[in-house]
Amino acid sequence: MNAMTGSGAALIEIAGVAVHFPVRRSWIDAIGRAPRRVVRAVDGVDLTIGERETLGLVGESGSGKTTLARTLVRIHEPTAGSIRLRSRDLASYPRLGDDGLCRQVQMVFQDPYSSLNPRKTVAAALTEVLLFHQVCDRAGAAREVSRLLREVGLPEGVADRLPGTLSGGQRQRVGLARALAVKPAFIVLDEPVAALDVSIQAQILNLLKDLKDHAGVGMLLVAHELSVVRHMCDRVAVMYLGRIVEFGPTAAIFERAQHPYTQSLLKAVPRLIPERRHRAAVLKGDIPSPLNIPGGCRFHPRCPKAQDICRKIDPPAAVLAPGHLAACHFPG
Amino acid sequence: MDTVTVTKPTRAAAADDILVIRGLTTEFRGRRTRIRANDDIHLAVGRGTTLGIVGESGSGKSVLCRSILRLLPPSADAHVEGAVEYEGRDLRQLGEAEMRRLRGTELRMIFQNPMTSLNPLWPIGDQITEGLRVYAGLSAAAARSRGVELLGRVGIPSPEQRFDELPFQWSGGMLQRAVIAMAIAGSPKLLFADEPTTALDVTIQDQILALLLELQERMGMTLVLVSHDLAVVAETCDRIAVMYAGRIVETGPTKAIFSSPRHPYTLGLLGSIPQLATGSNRLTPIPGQPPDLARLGPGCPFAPRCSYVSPDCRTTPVRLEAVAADHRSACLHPERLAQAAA
Repeated sequence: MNAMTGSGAALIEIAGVAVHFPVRRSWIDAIGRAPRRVVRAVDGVDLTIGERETLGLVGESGSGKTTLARTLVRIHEPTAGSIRLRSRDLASYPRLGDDGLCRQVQMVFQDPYSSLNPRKTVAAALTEVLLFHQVCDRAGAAREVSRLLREVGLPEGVADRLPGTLSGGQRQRVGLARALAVKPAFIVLDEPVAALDVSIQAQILNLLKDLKDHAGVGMLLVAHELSVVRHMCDRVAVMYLGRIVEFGPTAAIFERAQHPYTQSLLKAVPRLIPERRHRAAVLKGDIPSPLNIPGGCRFHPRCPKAQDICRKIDPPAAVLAPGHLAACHFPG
Repeated sequence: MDTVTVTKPTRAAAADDILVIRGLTTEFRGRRTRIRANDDIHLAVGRGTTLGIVGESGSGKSVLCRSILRLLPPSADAHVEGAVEYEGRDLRQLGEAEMRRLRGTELRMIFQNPMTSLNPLWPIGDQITEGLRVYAGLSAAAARSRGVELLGRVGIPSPEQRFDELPFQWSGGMLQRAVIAMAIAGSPKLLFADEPTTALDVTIQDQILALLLELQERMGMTLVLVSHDLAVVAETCDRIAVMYAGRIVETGPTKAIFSSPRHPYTLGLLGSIPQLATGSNRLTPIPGQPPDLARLGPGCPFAPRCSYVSPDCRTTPVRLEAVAADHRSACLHPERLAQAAA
């Protein structure tokens, strides 16, 4: 099962994970005995994330990347397969306590406006986490809060302010400080800069890079923006309709993409090149619904290279270079 | 249109300018605060060209479009000054009925979220052709066949069948195509697109930008594309205006803006963007936050974040001045940038 194995000690091992959501039948469908329909948001994913590694997860909306990310913090439970954190099944961890899941795995959300309590000052929000998870006692909390604020580059004065008085970038820093408060082994970042302006986005990306280098924490970075992933990540997984279609070291993915979907994604990104006047679009059509995944290779209806075999046989992931895999009948 | 030397459009206005804006200022007045969302904007847009307006949230790009088209809600209590000449007529002097007719035909705008322009309970085809029935007086049958043609033209597969579907049955990319079909129904001369691809995936963004440019070329339409994404405007626009704190801080041909930026803010934006091609070099973000528009000093609004700042920047008002042929910057010391680059 573990085809997509990385290098180094494994922090997270995802093996054959599927997350399916049944669709509620209307009573008309129930009487008519229409088949139960299932959204196959994640549909068989194998991935390994090493200690201190930053793995990027990219794909269009509807590819299942957020569902997979949320499954790693047990917001969703996998329908099939297993997720192991440091060789131990995620489901066997207690939620709380010193080795509880909440101490090990943390999440930072996209929207810094809705993920903070508007009535709690920054210090109160952070202190709550510290005390609840017994990271330190009340006496040590104030010192720990100022250490956290320093770590995420916020001035001391922010501690007594409410989220409403902070900018988007500052709030995202508070969200990060809150995740870092329990000293987790692994942080899931779901589109952490998508809601921010370019100049602020750059500040947060630099901060994330520092944390990656110094905090010794493994990260999964979910992003739709490929340049952000290239900038931040050691390895990249490209997701399409619930599957990883290509996986490898960042440089390999960006310079020698093998899967036609990855190649199309890269071509679709606008560049800062004024001469490159826009030409015909590279990829036609929308991503199909995960309610109704095409047979054979799930990318075949949009693929410029599709042949007969692609309509019939789902290609398995194949190793094309050390650590570089793609699930395609005609890679390259 | 030969009276341009008195005021200062961003470029010498020529006879083939479809839109000339002179000294447009939009101020929102609260009980205690005054927010100048647009401050003394001068801009000329050549017929058939594409102008990109870039800036971060709060820089005033959307307010600019809405001020031009008179789409600011009355409740905003906006105080607008200056002139907006479209085809030689000052839009600000027109009656509401005439303005409404223009907005329904030759002067169109599309928005970031297509659902702000669509009624969720009304078939998409009917919404697209409403303007044709109202302004061109088409019969229901004629409007329908034209509507089907329009949907096909913006790349909706089997438009005949999809004409009667409701918005919830369509994806975001398809809805944006529907809104574009609605906009081009009246053969507009000037189309404002306010962040038309921001809510879309890169692959769909790619399709929509290609569609807009193709339509522009075929219809000879003028396009004003508002975006926060420098790469999007780099690829699609002939000229660019960079906005900051309600002002245009730099404007010129796209190539000049990207190859030799002459405003520190533009340079800062370019340094903030991770590059797809090269990867992991450290970014050089612009320090600090955009200013509070209610508390601007007399000098350059970018001075507190600027790495080329000198004491006079904080006290001397800045205006757009020529730094090269056809290239203007609102910076007191544009030569410092040139020296740093050299």
